[in-house]
Amino acid sequence: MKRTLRLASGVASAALLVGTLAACGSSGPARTGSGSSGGGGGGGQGQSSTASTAGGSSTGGGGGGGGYAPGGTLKVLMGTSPDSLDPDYGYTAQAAEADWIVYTPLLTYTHADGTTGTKIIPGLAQSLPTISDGGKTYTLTLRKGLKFSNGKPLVASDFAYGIERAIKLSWGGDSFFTGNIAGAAAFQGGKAKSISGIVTNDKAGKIVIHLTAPYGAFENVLSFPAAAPVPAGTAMKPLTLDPPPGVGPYEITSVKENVDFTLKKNPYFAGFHIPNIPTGYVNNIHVTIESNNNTETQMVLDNQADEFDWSDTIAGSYLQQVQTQAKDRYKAETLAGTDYFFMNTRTKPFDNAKAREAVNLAISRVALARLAGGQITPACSFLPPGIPGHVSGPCPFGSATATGSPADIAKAKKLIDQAGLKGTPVTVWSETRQPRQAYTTYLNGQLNAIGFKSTLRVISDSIYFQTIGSAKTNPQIGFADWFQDFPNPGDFYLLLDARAIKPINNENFGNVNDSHIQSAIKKLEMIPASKLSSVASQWQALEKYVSSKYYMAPYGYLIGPLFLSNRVDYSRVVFQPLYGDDWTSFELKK
Amino acid sequence: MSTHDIATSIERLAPEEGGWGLLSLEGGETPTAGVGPYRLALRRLRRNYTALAFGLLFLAIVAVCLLAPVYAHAIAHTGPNTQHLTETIKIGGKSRYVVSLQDVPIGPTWRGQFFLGADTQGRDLAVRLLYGGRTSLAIGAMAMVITVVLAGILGVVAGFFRGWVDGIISRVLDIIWAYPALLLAIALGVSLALGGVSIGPIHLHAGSIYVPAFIIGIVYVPYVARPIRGEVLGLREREFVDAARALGQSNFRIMASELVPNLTSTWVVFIALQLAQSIILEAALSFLGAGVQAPNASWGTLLSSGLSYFQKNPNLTLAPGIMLILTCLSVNVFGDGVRTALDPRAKVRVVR
Repeated sequence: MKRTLRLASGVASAALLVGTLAACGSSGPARTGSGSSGGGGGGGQGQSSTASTAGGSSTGGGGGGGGYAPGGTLKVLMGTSPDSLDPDYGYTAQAAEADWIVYTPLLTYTHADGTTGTKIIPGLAQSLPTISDGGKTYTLTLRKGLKFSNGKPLVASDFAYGIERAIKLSWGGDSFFTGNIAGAAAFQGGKAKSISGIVTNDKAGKIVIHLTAPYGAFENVLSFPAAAPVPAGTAMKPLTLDPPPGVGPYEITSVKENVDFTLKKNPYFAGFHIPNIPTGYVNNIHVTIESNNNTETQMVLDNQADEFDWSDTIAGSYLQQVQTQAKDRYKAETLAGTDYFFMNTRTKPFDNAKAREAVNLAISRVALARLAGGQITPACSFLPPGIPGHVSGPCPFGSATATGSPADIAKAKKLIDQAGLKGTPVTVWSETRQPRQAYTTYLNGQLNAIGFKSTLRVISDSIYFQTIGSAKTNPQIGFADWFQDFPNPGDFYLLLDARAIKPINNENFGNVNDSHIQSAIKKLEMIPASKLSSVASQWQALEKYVSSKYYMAPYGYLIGPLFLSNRVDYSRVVFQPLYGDDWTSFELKK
Repeated sequence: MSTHDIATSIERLAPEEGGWGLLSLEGGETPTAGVGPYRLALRRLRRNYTALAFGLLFLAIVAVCLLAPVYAHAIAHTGPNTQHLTETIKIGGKSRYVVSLQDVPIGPTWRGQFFLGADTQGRDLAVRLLYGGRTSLAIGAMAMVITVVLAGILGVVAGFFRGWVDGIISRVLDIIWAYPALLLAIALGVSLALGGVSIGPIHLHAGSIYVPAFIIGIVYVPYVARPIRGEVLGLREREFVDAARALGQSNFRIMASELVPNLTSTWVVFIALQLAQSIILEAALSFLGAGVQAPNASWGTLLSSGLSYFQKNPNLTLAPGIMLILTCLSVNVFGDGVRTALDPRAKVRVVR
């Protein structure tokens, strides 16, 4: 009996080890990790900002009021590693958040929250561009005396080299360049050795860009970190572990892929005296990848880390605790971004409109919002509020917001039967992180309920978007989201633009190629950003057309947490609508 | 001392006392028929109430898990993957969300529906627990069979033939053994879970439960094959093997009819112990995402998905954890009882 008990207790201990080790909540595998907005360029708050911070652009370097002072190391947590910190390759919100303050482009955005943050200001250029030739020619002049963070002087031709490099590396948004700049498409196709539409004069610091047609959002395009100059001669391959030098308040000093990376103050930048671009308070920014969003939450609650990834979701089990214990350093920010399920229109069964309609009917937006702990707003249309063209009004797939609103399984089933698609095998693609895996688990269940034979394929966050964006993978359906690069519906319609379809780094996961959409985009993208509101109704009409074709299944608008430690002066923090937490505004306690 | 004296001094021991029915040859008594070793083992086992109790517990767990569809249909009125995200249920006259607006699932209701509560996807935990048990037990059993059969074949062949055959087999086993079982299983699980496994005409598709069963079965082969090989090395020198050779029996016949029956007790013990090991490894793999894939239920996936809600809904982790403990404990205790019952050295007394 004694021996049996010893054995029994030994087995009990061993078996308990599973639960006990699990309960320790270690930052282990990314299985229950936090989320990030992939595919989007920067952060977004849209016109419906709820920010209450003092905001405004800060010149940095001053500070020191109320027990806070410049200096120190800011400890940031990110739920997903940036796909790449190389500005000519990375295209996720995490990458943009860091690259924005490392690679200042010719034009940039105000370091402010709310709609002020969407205002374009000169970056490395002396002033906003002179636009001529009916909107087809942009002329800019570089500021004098600029240097990269490695000390190399910046010249005008470095801008052209940066654009060429972004095209060569197949940056996710390169269609913004190839679709607009004269000669860029030929360069991409290997028919030219350089981009004929970019003319530079290093001596004068002059840059002239010729477009194939007027493009109203081109100033926004010039504001991408991917449009920032990089030293000529930088290797034409992704430098994920050793990003090239840039011209910005900070420089990247070390990168351990999927582990952490570090930024430190660029010693040259303050000397350039570029107005409206703060030099930053903290000396160093250390970013750690923490894929377990419970651990992430706990670390910020306990002030072991300073910033919770704003593109992540606080688990429902922690939300109340954060809202009560940390109410002075937590706020839910409305973001200009949309969660949706893509459906590949080139592959069975979603090449059939009835199948796509059935999916839209089969998902309850309220259920999905519940899985996010209320951290998305249930939605039916693609463009989020604040973006011209957003369609409000009743959802054609049942109420998006009424509590308890169920999905219409019966109608969806009928459509599948009518289309003769019952029993079709479907693979739902998902990231490991929550709540994204919860969304796709729900979708998987609903697809089975309406008659498909659906299975879930879950892959690591760090390779998710590259995988589903590869033509080899040819995914049928899965999770995706989009977060505004700039407050223009044309940015969102990259995901439905046939010109964006590429063999790798494809952002048009649905492979949508609709001539009506193409002609509408072509017409509407010529409108200058300042006149967007005049064509809002046309964008709305396009939205309704997209809904009628069921090209995607949007289900929620993003809400991001601005959740910081008590080391940070919360009142001064800027939540930039396109890039999220503006690290140049963070000041730490003395 | 004469043979007669020795014989008279050997006390006849009752089989219940562990004796082998040895005779007391005193003055012309006729010998009594003996009791076979397995019958003896059964008698010993029947007196081991602890082992029996845990054996019954294991059978009860298996029975309950097998009845999962009945429970789901008749009592819970829901399936293991049916999500009730936006539904409400009445408890004590009050309407409550199955999953709250903050994505916090309901706790145990101790009634038919959501007896142990719901998970974060609004699925009935008790139903998933039972279906998960079926999966975990099935994978454990399949893996155990793979291990025991493969290990048995390899161990017998290696131990019988010795020489270069033993060398090759032993080196292959050493290579597998060099990797910690869990790490090897994780590596194989991750790589095979996406693409599936093809062995000749047999293709196991990604997400199939046969994939983790195959992996776990293979990983544990050396742990069973080596002891069997060791036993065979001893058995092959015994006289009954010589006798079989002398009779002209083929090697295969000798292995099958002489060696294998003598290894039965070893196999029986390994069956029980290996079953527990396989169930635990399956849970570990599924917990880490390298075994059973979501949204399918197994005790490991339930542990994993419940982890992030441990503070608010400990039932999500405790329920599968307790089932795992009880199952493995019962199998191990029963297996230990079987081993004790089969041990021929347990009770033999020689009185001078």
